[in-house]
Amino acid sequence: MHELESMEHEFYLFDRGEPRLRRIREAITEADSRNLPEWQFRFRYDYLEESIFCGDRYYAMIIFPEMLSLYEKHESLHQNARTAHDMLICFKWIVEAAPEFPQISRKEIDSYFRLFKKMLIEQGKSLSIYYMKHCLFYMKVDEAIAAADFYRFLEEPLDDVSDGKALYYDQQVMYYLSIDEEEKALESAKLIFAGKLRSNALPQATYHDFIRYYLEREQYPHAVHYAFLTERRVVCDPYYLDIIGTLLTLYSQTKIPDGVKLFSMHYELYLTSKNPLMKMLFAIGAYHLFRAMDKEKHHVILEQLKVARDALVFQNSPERIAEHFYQEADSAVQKFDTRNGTDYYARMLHLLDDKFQS
Amino acid sequence: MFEPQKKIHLIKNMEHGSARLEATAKAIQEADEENQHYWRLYFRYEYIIESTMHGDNFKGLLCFPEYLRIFDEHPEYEDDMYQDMMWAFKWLVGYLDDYYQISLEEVRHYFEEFRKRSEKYGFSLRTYYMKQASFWLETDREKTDVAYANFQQYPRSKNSDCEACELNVSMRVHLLRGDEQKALELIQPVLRHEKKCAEIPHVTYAYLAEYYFLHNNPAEAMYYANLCQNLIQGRPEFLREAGKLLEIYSVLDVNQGWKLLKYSAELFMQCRNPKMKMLFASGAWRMMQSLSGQLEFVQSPLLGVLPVAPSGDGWSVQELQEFFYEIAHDIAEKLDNRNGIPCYVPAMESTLPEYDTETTLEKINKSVRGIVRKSQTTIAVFLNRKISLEELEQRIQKAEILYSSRKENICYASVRTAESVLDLALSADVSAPPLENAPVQGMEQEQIQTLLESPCCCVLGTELSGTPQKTYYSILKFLNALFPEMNGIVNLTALKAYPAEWVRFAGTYENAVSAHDLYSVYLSGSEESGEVYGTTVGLCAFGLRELEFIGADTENFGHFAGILDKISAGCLEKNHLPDENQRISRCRNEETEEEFEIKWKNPETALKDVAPDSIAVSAEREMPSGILNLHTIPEIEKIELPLSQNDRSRRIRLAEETLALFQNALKKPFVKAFVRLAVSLGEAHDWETEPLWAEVAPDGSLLLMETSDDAPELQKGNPIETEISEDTIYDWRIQPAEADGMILPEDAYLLEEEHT
Repeated sequence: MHELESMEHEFYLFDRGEPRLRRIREAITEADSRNLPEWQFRFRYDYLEESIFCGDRYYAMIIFPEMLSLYEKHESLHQNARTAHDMLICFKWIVEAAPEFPQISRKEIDSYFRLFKKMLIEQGKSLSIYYMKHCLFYMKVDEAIAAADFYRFLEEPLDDVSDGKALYYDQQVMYYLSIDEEEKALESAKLIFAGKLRSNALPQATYHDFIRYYLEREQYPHAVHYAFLTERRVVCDPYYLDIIGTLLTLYSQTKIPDGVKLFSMHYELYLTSKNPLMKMLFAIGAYHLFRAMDKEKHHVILEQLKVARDALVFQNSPERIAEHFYQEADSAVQKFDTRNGTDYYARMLHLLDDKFQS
Repeated sequence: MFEPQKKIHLIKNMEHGSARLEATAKAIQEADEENQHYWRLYFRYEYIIESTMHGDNFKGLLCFPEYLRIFDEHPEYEDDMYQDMMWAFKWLVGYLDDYYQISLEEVRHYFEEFRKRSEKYGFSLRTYYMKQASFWLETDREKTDVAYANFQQYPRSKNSDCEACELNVSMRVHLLRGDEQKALELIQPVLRHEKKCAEIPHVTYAYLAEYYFLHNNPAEAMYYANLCQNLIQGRPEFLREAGKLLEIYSVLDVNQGWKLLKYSAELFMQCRNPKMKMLFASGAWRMMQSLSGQLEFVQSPLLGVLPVAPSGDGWSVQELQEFFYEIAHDIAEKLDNRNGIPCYVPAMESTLPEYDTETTLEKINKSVRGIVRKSQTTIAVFLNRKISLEELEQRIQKAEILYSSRKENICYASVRTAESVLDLALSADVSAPPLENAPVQGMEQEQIQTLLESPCCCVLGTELSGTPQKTYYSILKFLNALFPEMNGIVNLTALKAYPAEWVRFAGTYENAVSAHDLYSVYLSGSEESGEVYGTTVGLCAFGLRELEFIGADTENFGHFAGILDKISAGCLEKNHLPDENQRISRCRNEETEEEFEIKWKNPETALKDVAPDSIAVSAEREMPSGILNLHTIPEIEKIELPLSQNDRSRRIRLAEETLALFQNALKKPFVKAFVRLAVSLGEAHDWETEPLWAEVAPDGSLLLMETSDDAPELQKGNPIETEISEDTIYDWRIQPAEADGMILPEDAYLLEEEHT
């Protein structure tokens, strides 16, 4: 037992991301071999947390079913207030992460949500976090369900499973923008923008909501304003590859050289990421950027790209690169939209079609 | 095409009440027509919530059986919706006793079904037993005791009522058993505002008021009745509580009761919940009985909703009495028949206790409660020319009011405010009040003299209700509409005078009125003893005890007055003064890190013990007051009183609202100008912001005036690029070229065109 405890203390000596994940994996193997449910659960929690916050959430999706089955198998884990609470926290992360993987079906996502809700009810927790995450997913799937969720989310009190005030307001911003209520979104964002509320992902995630909103409405100066505030906070972080994708789309219309620089900085991350949603959003942005470059004949800048390993594929042609990312994005878009039963991402992919045709 | 999301947005953005209920009913109809079962269930649940939480629950009751049937027919939605269904079911069993139309057999069936489903979904039976205890509480002591004992055995679960509601039921059970001490002990978290919900403490206050009224403690009854009325007036879901208060007022305060009755008449007519209707009608009948000894007729357009025809003199008190009696008695009989136990009819036939109202009032003033009966607020408006009563009446009719009437030399008007309704009485061309020697704050004596020389003065009298600042803003808004040509006003209750420009400003900007505008602090001293005594004037208008301090002398009275001022402002913002010996304010000595609590004491006892020869002992007290013995606090110069968060937010909002006036003033010559802005701390600090003061240079650039603890590299005098906007502003100050001193957002009217 003492050894396992020391192992846990050592996690923090390893760099975040892959190195730490590898170390935790070893600890899991050790706990499994000793058949100690509490430690098996605890290390898996550490692993899942690391994957969620310092990775691409891929490993979180792999470890979660193991965790759930452990939790269901061992009554002692239910009885322990800490593990019961940890289970809810993991569920909270997973119901948000699961939709990022198109191989997870709607049915499975819905069943995760149901189980999460049931568990919250059983532990006497507020359903605020359930409605928030459900709304987040259904905003891309079914507007009516999202609307019903959103108001329930507002009506339920926050508690120790909830994401906290900052994300509470960010969710409002995201939702109001999705229904074109800019004024309400700005009102909800006020405390975040003033720096009075913050979290790991804020204010950058809130700025991102506004960038997308203005981008879709071709209000580029507004979008650029928020992009300026966002870029420094998200560069070179695998957690924000989706935001980088949005910035690439924006820069394709406002400042191609900056877009190329940003692309170049993140291409490696894109290649190594195992998160399909993030990869797809990055690919959409890259497609927009290179389509715009092709249109504007920006051949010279292309040579500065650090994409040597793919030079043969791209052959220094923006058109070919655009084509490559289109194929990548389109294939992912089809998977996501088929799973979700909508054309949400297809619309995102074809957002600038008019501009490229003119 | 049925678009549920549009319906949801429409409904959720509507005010609560009948219109929202109607819109939800339409959504149900469309979902039914489209056979969309998920939405059939969703909108029905919304309908039940609305009817229960913001209405008389009648429509929710009618809707529930169908809701349950659809739920059972569609097990595919069970996982998603069982939680909703069980909440709706819980509400239903909670109001079964209100409807005599539901037989006892049906009641048993519903309870049994609720129990089964609670078990099926893994909910504790705590709620089931709590609702059973509530059902029998007024009629069957034995069944109540059994259910209550079972309720305590089970743990709380997700379907439980909130803790405040549970405590309320426990309190009622113990009051029923006559164990007042235990009941009060249990309900402390509610009385201390630590536990509350949408209906607690409202109903708790009503039960306590009723208990004390029936148990020979009229002062306590009035105290809780006052607290309750502030929360429930005008809200349909609290009509039963209004009925309880009417019964109390019929003995202890007929005027108050009459006001509550007429403003609730419309809600009463709309109510379809029999028990609520019965309790209100019973209280109204008692009220009319009391009035019948004094009056033959009553007048109020608000009674027009009742199916009792008025004669030329108004509504006959006798007829109203009969009208309410018949309704109350009829329903009481039906409820008793349903329950098989005589309860409500005997209650109606019982004689209410008799109390001497004068003695009760005296007791309230001397009690240990912070909340007292509100006193009248009087405001004098000074005009340039005389206006007749007829002209005043015409002006009132043109203003946005609910109704107006005129009797002898007084015009009456009712004005709807954001929170409730204000009754105003106005008289025209009254002689100016003798203010020459009165200590009036807010204006220079010279200006007051000019004001008093105005040829006409109108006087407005009212009893304030709602949040103090908001209510005062509504009054000023009304006065602006009524007397656009005024010279100024004097609040004769708080003894404060203001010029017309301020009245226009404060009646336009919702956040301009500060707590300090609603009362004054006065000092008097004795040369002989060097003792200085201070008191507030004006808190009583808001139902708060006036506060006095003792313990000051000629050296430190300014600081004592400051403490009193801050405490009073804090109490007014909360619209609450704690009871005797409870903490009003916490102070801290920064150097020793010692903390002190400030409490008040009843003058009767405090002064005799602490300072028998003080000038405060001999001061005449027209209003109930509380004594703060400040000289018990050592090292007073180092004490920092906590700042009020409410006032801080108000000042930020006012700074935002008046930003245009400030920016306009910046375009003209100015001596000095400062702004407090959300300044970005830079990349090294993840672009976080912090509110910091900066000086505005004549060319409009901003120079930092303070440093940040988080970002010491930001030096005083550094230029900053933050734009002054509504999003970034926290506060501002400016001294225009020709002004004598700094102008703050509170005085922003001084920056308006006519001033500058």
